[in-house]
Amino acid sequence: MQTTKIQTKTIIDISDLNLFFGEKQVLKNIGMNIAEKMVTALIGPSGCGKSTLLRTLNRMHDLSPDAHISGDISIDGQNIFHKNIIVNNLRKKVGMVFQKPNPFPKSIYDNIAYGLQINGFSKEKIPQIVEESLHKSYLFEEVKDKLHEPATRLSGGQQQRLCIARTIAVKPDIILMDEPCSALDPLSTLKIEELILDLKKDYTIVIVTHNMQQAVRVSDFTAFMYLGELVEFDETIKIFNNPEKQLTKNYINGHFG
Amino acid sequence: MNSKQRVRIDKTFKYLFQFAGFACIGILVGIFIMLIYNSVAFFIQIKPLDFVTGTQWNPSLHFGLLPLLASTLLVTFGAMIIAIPLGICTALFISEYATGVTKSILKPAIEMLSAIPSVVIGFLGIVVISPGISAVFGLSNGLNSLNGAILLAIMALPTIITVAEDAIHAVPLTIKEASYGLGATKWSTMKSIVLPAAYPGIIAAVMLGMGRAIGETMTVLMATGNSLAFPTGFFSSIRTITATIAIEMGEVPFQTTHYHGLFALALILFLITMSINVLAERIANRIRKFQ
Repeated sequence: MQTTKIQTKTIIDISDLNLFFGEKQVLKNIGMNIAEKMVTALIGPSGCGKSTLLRTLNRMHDLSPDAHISGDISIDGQNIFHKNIIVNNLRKKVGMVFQKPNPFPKSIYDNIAYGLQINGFSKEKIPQIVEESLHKSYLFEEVKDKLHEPATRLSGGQQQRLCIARTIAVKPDIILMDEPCSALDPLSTLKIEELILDLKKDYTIVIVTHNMQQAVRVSDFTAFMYLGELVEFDETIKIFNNPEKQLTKNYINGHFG
Repeated sequence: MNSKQRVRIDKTFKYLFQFAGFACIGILVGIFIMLIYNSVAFFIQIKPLDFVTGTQWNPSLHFGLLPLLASTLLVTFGAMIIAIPLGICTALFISEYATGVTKSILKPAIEMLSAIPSVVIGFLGIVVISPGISAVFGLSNGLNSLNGAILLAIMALPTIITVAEDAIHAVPLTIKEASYGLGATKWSTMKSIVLPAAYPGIIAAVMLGMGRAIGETMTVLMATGNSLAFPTGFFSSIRTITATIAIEMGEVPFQTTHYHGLFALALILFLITMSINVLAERIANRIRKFQ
């Protein structure tokens, strides 16, 4: 397997990352490099810290006052915890798609235009970018006649694709996805997975998933986490065919989790 | 216990709850009928048009609604100008910014404010705010509609803050996170996501606060100067619809035109609060469509 190693460039460099919620340590000494324009899957049983790790990458934990973080995360060589980093700029660069589709209580059009407005895109360009984003997220054909209707009237799968459209509209480099299909039916899931493979050309994607087949289908690299530790991180093919650690093997074979 | 008994107990409770429900409707309908009945008796003697266009309220001769209505609207309008921005900003602060000790003091303190009896607020108006107004603006008398507006604002604030805070707090964290996730600042998230989503609740808050201000009697009776002259501005002494009913009802001879006239005033008050409710409900519904 070593000979087929994928050539990659690191975009996110995580080292010695520890995270506490109050007294409870949720992430323990995480170190990993995430490759540019690849899909990296984070797998592991519930409560292992995979979503927590994902949310450190765009500093979403800033919103919880009892979260304490030590260690470094660099994106494009810049430490995201440095005091000069403006967190709003970081979050524009590192977009996020959440577990449950969470469109704003606005029209379909405004759901996408909002991110553009707050990030200072010029007014004339907004309609065009909205349309492009809807095309890129395979949603345009379904919604072109009802752009000004409430987004909440869309189906769950359409809402999630709208959330992806809204994320890519602001032109991030990295997209974080936190179990984006867990609330969706199989067909909607399939569409999102196709979309992920397509988006990989332009974006680095980090996806948390409960579904191991999904990790196999969409990801290039897989990190297996257990109880806050990174157990094993390698190419997806390696993790699922020939893992180094017994724990990984037990998990992917369904012995626990 | 045999099954017959159980069925009987079951039915008894059903009728008990049914009675409670219908009693409320009965009371409401009863009040409405009483108002209409006595108002009709009034309008047989005084032409409705004269009532609603009359500029003098002088119960021996003139039954003009306008000075009282203008007083009520002026003082309520003034109270809302103060209370709405202050109330919504406080609600936003409690819900979005305040943490720990600040929050745990602020919320009960605001609820405590609503526990102050209106007569005490009226007192505050007479001994503190009214002298303050006359000193600041160089007036001989500070018992005017500005004084009333400030006091009514104080009284409407707890309602506005509590209801608006509930509405703001109920905005799901997930959509706030979505906004932050796009790079939005706290302010843009609040302005474009939280406030629009909480809008129906905020409208309800304002509406309830306004209802409180319009219906308030004791405070305005004590602190606005009791003048029947047509108000000309915030420095005029006034007398609201509520204060007029409260003052005159105790002395009016039974079943006279004057007596019926007070019911007509009450009917007007009822119509005002009802239209505020209907209007607010319609605004809220239009916005709720997007949620």
